[in-house]
Amino acid sequence: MNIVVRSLSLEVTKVFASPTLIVLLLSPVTAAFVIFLLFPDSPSLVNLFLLFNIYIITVMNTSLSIVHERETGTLTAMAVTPLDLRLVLATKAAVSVGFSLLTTLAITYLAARNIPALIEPGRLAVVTGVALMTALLFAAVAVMISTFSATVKQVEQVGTGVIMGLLLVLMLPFDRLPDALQQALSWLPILNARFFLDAVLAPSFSPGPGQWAPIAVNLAIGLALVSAAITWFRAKFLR
Amino acid sequence: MIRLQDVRKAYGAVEAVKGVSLEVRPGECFGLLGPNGAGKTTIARMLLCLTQADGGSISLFGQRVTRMPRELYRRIGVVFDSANLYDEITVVGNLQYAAASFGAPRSRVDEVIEQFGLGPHRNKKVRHLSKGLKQRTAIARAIIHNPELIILDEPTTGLDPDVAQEVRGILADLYRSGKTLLLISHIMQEVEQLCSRVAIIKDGRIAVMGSVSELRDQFASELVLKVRGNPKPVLDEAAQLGLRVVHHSGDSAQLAGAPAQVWTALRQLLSRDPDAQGIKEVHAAGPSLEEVYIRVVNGP
Repeated sequence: MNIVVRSLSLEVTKVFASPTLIVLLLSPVTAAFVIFLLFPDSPSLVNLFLLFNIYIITVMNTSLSIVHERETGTLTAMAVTPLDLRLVLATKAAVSVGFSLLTTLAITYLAARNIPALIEPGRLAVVTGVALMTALLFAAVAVMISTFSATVKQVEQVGTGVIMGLLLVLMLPFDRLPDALQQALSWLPILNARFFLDAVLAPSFSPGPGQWAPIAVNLAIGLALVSAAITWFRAKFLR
Repeated sequence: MIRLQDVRKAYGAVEAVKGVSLEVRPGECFGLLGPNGAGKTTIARMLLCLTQADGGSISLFGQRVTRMPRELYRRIGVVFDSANLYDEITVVGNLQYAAASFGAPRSRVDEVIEQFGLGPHRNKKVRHLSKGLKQRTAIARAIIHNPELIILDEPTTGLDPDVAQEVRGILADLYRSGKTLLLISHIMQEVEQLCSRVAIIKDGRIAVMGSVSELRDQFASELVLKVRGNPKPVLDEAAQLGLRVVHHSGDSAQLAGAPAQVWTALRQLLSRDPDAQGIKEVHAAGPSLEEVYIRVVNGP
């Protein structure tokens, strides 16, 4: 237990000790503040900010941290201690997920200046749940990117490519897809954007069991994907 | 303490280690020498289970390891060729985290800081340290849990000569304190100074193994003639004198041959007024470890 707390605190210390990571954490919140100030009548921007905030922090922070440590050799140094490498990687993912949740809440509170209903307890809980499942999915993506990127530069390139993919998913006209496909996709984490849209924007949105079932499924899928990605990374690292 | 039997490893079609067998005894400093790409680091990685061997067996502390039990890492300290420390964290922060990772008491942090003279630097971030201080911190981290076995992979590579000498002093102290050291290096001076036994790896195989004096004796059938200043006269007559040119660059040359031939060449050089010929230094000697190494590595 002691080592888990120490590992988490080391990760947090590393984030605050690195100016680059601080900028990475603060930039989405700052940008959201400016945009909401300039365009108070564009609530559709809120969900985009929430998604990209989670993406940037979870994917970029986790994968940059892992690959940087692999490049500098500190990950190898950790691999020759009694600690399981999976714990080290899970700690990194957990810290990024934690930071992304904190900044999600900050952006939600900023957006609440124009959409006060956002911080009603039920809706806030759904936004947090959706943010958590999205962050877990992105954490799995981050570990996968780290597995296949040899250098920090490659992480930056692949990370940018994945953002483009995310934009494409956001713009896909799901309503025009065949019914069966829509039904299947509606349970996949890929449609997190829709949850955000409903939870953030729909005036008639009322939190209830209807939202919690897919959130719970996606949380389970996210956790499974993160642990599979970490196991794969470890197997490749120690091959 | 360490026993490797017929250990093999290939990366795709490239065979990095081709059946290596060796034993490191408790309390000894064992040197693993070889050129870049000979397989030294792969052997160390297999020992530490950072890479899985394709065949053969590896035993540590009498226990056969394929997947290293995590607890066994408490008995091993590792120093890598680069410091492998968290640059953005302080010296004491790095050591505290290492102590927590190994389950060592926190008091050990102050002990190793004292032992390695890191007191004035304890609150400095690692990125602000010199290379020498970084390496000292790395060694302090490697022994924070008081391990029985320390594996050192090129610990002085890239260090200034005076800093490298200081690091060697620290390693000598560890050896004298009864630790078992496995030193992977291609710096002969370091190996000659520290190691009780040596293995030279060539193309993934152990070419020779024994104590430094055993290896020198094994290659003593030839003497080496070293000439500095103007080696041209002796180079011109090398073939005629039955000597082989081992090394020649500008103003220095090394030639090897049977002792009688080397002494004849030396007498001839000295009888012809070496000063007038521009010869500044000439001497004949048995092979140093470096010469043994060069012969093994460059030999057939």
